[in-house]
Amino acid sequence: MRELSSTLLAAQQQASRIPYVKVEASNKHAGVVSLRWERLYTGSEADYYHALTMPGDGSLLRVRVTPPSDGRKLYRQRVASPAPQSDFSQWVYTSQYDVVTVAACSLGSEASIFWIKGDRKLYHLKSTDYGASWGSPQLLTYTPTTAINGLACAYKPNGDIALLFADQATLYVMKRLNDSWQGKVAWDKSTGDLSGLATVYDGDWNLFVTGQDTDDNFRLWSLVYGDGSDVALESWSALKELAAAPADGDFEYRTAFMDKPDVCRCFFVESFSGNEAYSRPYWSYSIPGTNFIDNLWHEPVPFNLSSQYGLAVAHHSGYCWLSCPCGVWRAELSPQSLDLSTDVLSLREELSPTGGSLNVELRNDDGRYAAPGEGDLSVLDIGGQLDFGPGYVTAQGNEVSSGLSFILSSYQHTSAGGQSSLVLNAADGWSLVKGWRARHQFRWNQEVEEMSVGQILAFVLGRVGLKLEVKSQSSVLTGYYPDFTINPASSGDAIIQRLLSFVPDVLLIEGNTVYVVNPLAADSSDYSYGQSHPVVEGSYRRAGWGLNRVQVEGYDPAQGEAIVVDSFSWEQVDRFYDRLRQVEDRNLDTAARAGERGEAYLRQAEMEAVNGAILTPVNCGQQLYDVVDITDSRAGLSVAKRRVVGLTLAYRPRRGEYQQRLILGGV
Amino acid sequence: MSLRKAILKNFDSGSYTATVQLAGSRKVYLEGVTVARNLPAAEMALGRRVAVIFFDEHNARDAVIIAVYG
Repeated sequence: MRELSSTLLAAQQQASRIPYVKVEASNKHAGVVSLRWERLYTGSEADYYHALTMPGDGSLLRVRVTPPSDGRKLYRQRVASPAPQSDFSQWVYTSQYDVVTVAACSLGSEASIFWIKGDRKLYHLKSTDYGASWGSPQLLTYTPTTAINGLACAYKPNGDIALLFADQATLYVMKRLNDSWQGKVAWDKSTGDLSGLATVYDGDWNLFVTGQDTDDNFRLWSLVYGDGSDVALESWSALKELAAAPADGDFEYRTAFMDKPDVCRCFFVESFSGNEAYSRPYWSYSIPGTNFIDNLWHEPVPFNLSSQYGLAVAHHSGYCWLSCPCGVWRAELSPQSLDLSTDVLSLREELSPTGGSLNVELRNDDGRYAAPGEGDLSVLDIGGQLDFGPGYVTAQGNEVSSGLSFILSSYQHTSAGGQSSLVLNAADGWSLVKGWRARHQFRWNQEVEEMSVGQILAFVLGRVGLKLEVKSQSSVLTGYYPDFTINPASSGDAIIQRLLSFVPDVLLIEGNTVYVVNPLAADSSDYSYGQSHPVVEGSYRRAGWGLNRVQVEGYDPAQGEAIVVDSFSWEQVDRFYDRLRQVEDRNLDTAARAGERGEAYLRQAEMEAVNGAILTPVNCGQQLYDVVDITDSRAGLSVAKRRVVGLTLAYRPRRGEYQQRLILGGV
Repeated sequence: MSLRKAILKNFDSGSYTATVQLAGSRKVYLEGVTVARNLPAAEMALGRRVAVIFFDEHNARDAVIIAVYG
């Protein structure tokens, strides 16, 4: 149960209660600000290597290299106060040519541009006045070859810099420590040729790398160069895959950029050489609340641009910026919200183990909601987030229990009998899961243990922007590594349900987080109904178990023979004789694993055999899978434990209604 | 159980397993899929279409290539 303040807890148990609900629209999607890009500049500059950085004064520093046909000249640009009316077409030639690639970064008033020339010289150009003026180029080192397809740099808050470049299959790092450049150091990985690099400092140097593996398959990896946070100083993490394509296929990844305005936001280019060919930037972001090294990313989303050299990303103050040589984009980065609470005419929230919805009716008699998504109502738009908090008027004022978020999927204006309203229809995170489709094959644990059931769940949920958190979990969730395949076009909910069939655990989506709960018969009660908190209506049902014997068949690859394990509820078998369920899973390679699976099915049957519902005044902190105890003497219940498996909350002030119906299951 | 189309990418006549590209999965191939023994090795030419039965949609160990065509 969500924790409630003492005053809110007291208010919801009083005989006379004054309801209050908070409904707020925001410009977020699954808890992350949804960036609505506005293109501010469209030029004729050629698509080639480029970079972007924003020093402390908010100026926009862009650099670009012209194509080989124009001598690979290096240009720079500074727009002091970038805005829609700014001129992004003026470039300054740096008198540098034959430039292979370029990178830029900044910290406060200091900005740096790095480039590598065709003669293998790696240069540094520094400004200490936000890029207004620049010193002379400083030769830092020579690269081993000129096959440099990735150059990236980032400042640490203390002024140190990590400069990374990919020379064929080797990634090198050079650090500037206390204003003194150190020698270059190679990484400890074996790959094929690399094609792109991006980095952001966030306790460590977090990297995005594109290139090929030792079998020439194309890869997009995340990687961490340690600075003592998640990875030890000057150590490398493992390469972790974000996207892959086969060596003999038509796809390739290249040209990465990354920034961390709120979460890590990355851009990379996906090229398709088949029919119809394209090179298109894709973007993704790291799941809020996770660490970069967890490698949990939203499903990459295509960006409406054709480009081989991608989009550089940077941010300052309330805006995030994108740049390529011929374009500049800007998006609002600040969270924005609109409080709708005072206009709520009615509201209905429904939560179940596989989906939730929120329907809100707003008064619109004066046409105040005539144009959602526009002007002052810009954040009240389809695809935006609705945050809901049930509450009461308490001694402290209006108090709510927050944490419930929904995605606005549709709205409807109604006008009849001199009345007008706007009805908002929103769905919870399960709708994101149901809407996700696998773009290609995934497979884990074919040869070695790569990801447990819990980690595969976190991966799939991450693809739709949801974070997996543990309230309680079984040992199977973390210790079972099935050979698990996701076929193309498989839906997210089918995958999740299949994974959950392996374990006794259940999932609860609330806000933008998915909680794992391992419901145990011994769980203690979170809240009491029927005493301080009245029960208006109640129905309580108890039935025989739907199944009382589970026969699980696995396969022992070492012995080359089947494993067959029966699990029973003997007490139920005595009543109904055996009600059999047969389960076959070749991933189950030990009798213990097969037994665990059978017990999980029996546990589910036990919980489903007890059901019912109660109607009560709203308990603002009630969550699915909470254990509650119910006292209803007419039904013979005294502190009887039940588990909440469904919840419907109705708020209709015109009828004086503010109630919740809890669907109950066994504990 | 599901039946899916695929393109044969590799065939190991020793283990009688294959690597296939399932329809819709242009970026990732599925390796080590069992091939029905009634399919002649000579017919398992790379690039041919194959039919794959998944007895368990989420377990490639429980899949078998049952036909080669095209």
